[in-house]
Formats: sequence, structure tokens, C-alpha cells
Amino acid sequence: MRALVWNGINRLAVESVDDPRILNPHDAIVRVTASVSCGSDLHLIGGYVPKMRSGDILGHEFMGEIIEVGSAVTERRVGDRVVVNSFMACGRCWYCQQGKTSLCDNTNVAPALNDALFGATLGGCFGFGYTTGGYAGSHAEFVRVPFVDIGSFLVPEGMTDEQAVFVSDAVPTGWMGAYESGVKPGDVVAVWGAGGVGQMAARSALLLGASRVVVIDRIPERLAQVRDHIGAETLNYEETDLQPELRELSGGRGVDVAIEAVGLEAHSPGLDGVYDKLKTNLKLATDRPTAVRQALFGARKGGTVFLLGVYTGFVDKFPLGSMMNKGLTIRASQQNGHQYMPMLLERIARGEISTDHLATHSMPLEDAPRGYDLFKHKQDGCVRALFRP
Amino acid sequence: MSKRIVVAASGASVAAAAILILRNRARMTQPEPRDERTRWRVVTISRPRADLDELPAPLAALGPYVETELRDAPGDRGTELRARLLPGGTHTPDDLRVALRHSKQLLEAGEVAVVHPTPHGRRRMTPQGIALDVIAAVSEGKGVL
Repeated sequence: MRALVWNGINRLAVESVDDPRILNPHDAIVRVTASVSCGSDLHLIGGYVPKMRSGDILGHEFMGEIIEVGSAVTERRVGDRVVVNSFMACGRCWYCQQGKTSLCDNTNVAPALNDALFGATLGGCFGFGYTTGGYAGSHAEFVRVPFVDIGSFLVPEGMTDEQAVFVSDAVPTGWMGAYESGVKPGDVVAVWGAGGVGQMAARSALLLGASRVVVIDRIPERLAQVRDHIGAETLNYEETDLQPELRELSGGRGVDVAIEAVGLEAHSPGLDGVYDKLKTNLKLATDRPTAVRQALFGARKGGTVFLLGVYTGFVDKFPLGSMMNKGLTIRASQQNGHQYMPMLLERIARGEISTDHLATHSMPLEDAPRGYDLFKHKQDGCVRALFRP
Repeated sequence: MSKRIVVAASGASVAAAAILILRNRARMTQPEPRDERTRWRVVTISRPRADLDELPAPLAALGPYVETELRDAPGDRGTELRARLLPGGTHTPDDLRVALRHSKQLLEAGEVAVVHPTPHGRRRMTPQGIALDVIAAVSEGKGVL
């Protein structure tokens, strides 16, 4: 089959590779019909996370048709059109039973690396390098899906690939950030990052009853999407003094909930941005916590901050004093979306959540390196590139 | 003896005493080093104890030089499966860690997670790639357990 592989820092190619096959009784093979780029892929592609092996297949946000099932699969059958959660979950361990499926105990074969980096082992994920098990990704014609009964969900009749594919990751990640932050009617919510996850977090906050939701970014096309498709307000941090703006729009209090959906490659026009970039370029820090700092400062006293952006190691200048003295609640997680996916598919079908506008660039898998180039450099208004194997 | 020397000598004595006290306290409060090879290693299985009557196959395969024990986990979290190597056997802590992890996977998920053979493109022999291959090869037997 053909697949998009990582060949070294910022080097991608579409190559011919072996087809996947069933390895375990709960597996299925899915013929991929749509697979999208994600901001967290850029951390892998750019070498920020030294867990990729040249030749690894990228991609974790996808959907397709089941073409083969293992002997213990009971809920899915050949021909089912499914969207698959980017994290693998056994559904039986204590974490899965608590809904914390990204922390599944039984889907990751790399405990040594995880325990050294994080102090515990997280669940397996498609196409995300060795810390999540080293599983092949979805930017390919076919992908092996372990525990398909738990991780795949039937796509409702009439829903397009462009609508459904984001339920694999961006939509449940955004929902989790808003819902698990405890957003309630009347809250003022700020979201850092107007990419797919940030937009979905903002829409979720509105659906949960927030009185005002503002999304912070600097890319005009993305901010326009927020206004046109999400129904939230926007702030361009390059054109305004962010913290006073947040105070003003929250009645001088600070925002009740601050959701960070940027991740370790954060950008800032200020001195802190220069400092963070210097540290990561010199390999003195692995991640740039610029947006995290802003979120902590922007939250009201006693407010909640949720980190949705991906971080992999250690950061400098984390405002511990702000967190402690303001009495903030800090939450963070990889995506635990299995429990939310059926409900989110229904909301999309009812028109409550728009997703297809995120797929600004649709192209054959053979053009995926160009798609990532557009996506990485945010050219031509690219929000997400959708690949059709 | 000048006043300056007296003060300096007193300061040195206080410092030496403080170091001795701290070292003694550290000795008293630190436990004896444990034998890493034979210490207990534990996983929690999210199943009731009644479901764990038989020794799981991966642990049974290690033979007689392994001692096992079951305990109810607190908070309805299932059962703690404890195991340790006994003197005389040839198995290593890595073997025991793998056996415990595989036992948990079999009992909870019904299968042991596998990745390989996995499709991939051309593998280049880079330092990072070689290091990752080495880590991946031994990973299941390492980690905190």
C-alpha cells in the first residue's frame, strides 16, 4: 500500500510499504477514506519529540471502512463505515472504566520510555511515535485498528467524510476541554489557539452555556472561521494587549475558564516568545509554554485552566506562583473521547457543531507532503489538510 | 587566642556537629537497601479476586522460582497481583516485569498488545533510530515496576 512516512526532521515522503494485517483477535483492518493533519503531528515532524523512527507512518485522525475483523470482534463487521478514536483503549482496565481512555493500561508496549518521561505509561495512539506504542499511522490506504469494538463508531447515514473525520480527535478533544473544565451557564471562557481543537473547544463551551467565548490567535483566516462557523468572539494577540482585553471582556474579573489549545510550539511576539524559542532551539527546554503562561495569567482568581495542547517534556518559567496564589485549578489530558463520540456525532448530525469547514484543503494521499507544508506554514488559509488515500 | 579565631573555631564545630547529626539522622531514617532482584513487583488487575484462581500463563511459564500473592485492591479497583523472584532461578527482573504486564493484559483485555510486524517505510540507520530500536527491544521488561 501507499503511506506517508517520516524520513527525518521536516522530511516527508509517500512510499510503498507492506499492508497491515490482523495481529490480535480484537483487531480490524480499516480501508482509510479520510485522514487529516493535526497540529500535534508538527511536533513529531519537526523533531521536537525524539521518538520517531525514520520510516514511521504518520496520522492519527481518520475514518474509513472495515474490510477485515479479528476472531473476537463482536460489535463491528466488514463494510461498516466508522470513525476511529486516535487513542486505543481496551475498554476493560480501571482507567478505561473511568472514561480515561487515553490512559489505558493495556495498549502500549513501551513502558520504559513512558515511565522515564512521564512517570507512568499512557495508552497507545496511531502514528505518534514510540511513547504511544510505535503503532503505524492512518495516512495510508489501510490501517490496523486494535480493539475496534471499543475505538470505532458508526458514522450516521448522510454524514460526509469531511464532517465525520474530525470526531476522531479534534471534536472530542475540544469537548473534553470545555466539559471537564466544568464550563457552566454564564461563564466567560477564553480559548488559546484557533486551530481545529481550539475551535471545537470554543463551540463546546457555547453549547454548555457559556455567556461569552473568545478565541485568541493571530491567523486572520482562522479567526474568521471562529466568527463565521463557531459563533465565538476573537482576539488577535498581535494587534492588542491581551491581558487587559481579557479583563475588560470578563467584567474586570478574568476569565472563568481558560483553555489552552496551542501546544509546545507556541508563538508570541513578545520577549517571552523570544526567550522560549531560544531555549528550545538550544535544546535547553523541550517545550515552549508561552500560551500556558498567558492562560494562567488570564484566568480569574479561583478559575480553571485546561491544557489541551500537547507537551512532551520540561518547560521553563512556569508561573507556579500565579497558580498557587490565585488558587487555580489546572487540568490537562490527552484525548479521552470514546465516551463522547456518539453524542458528538449526533450533535453534528443535528447541525449543532460545524466541522467540515476545518478541512480547508482536500487532496490525494500522494500530495500529503505538500499538504503538511501548507498546514505547517499556515499558507493559503490552511486550517487542516485532508488526505484521501 | 584572638576573638576572631574563637568565633571561627566555634563556627566550624557547630557546622561539623550539624553534619554529623544530619548524617546520623539520615542513616536512622533511610531503610536498608532492598534486593532489586528479589523484591515484590505488583500490578493491579481490574477483576475480582475470584476470577484469578489460576496462575496466569505468563507467570506460570517462569516456573517454580517465582512466588506470587493476591490481595484485594482498595476502592473496588480489583485485585493486586504480587510476584517476586526466589533465589535459585535463572529469570531476571525484566522477565518478571514482562510476565506481570502480559498477565494483566490477558486477564483484563483478553490479549497481549503487539505492534510488530508493522508497516513502515525505509528505515535509516541514524543515531536516534538505533537508540529507539534498542529502547523498543527492551522496553517491555523495563520501566517502573
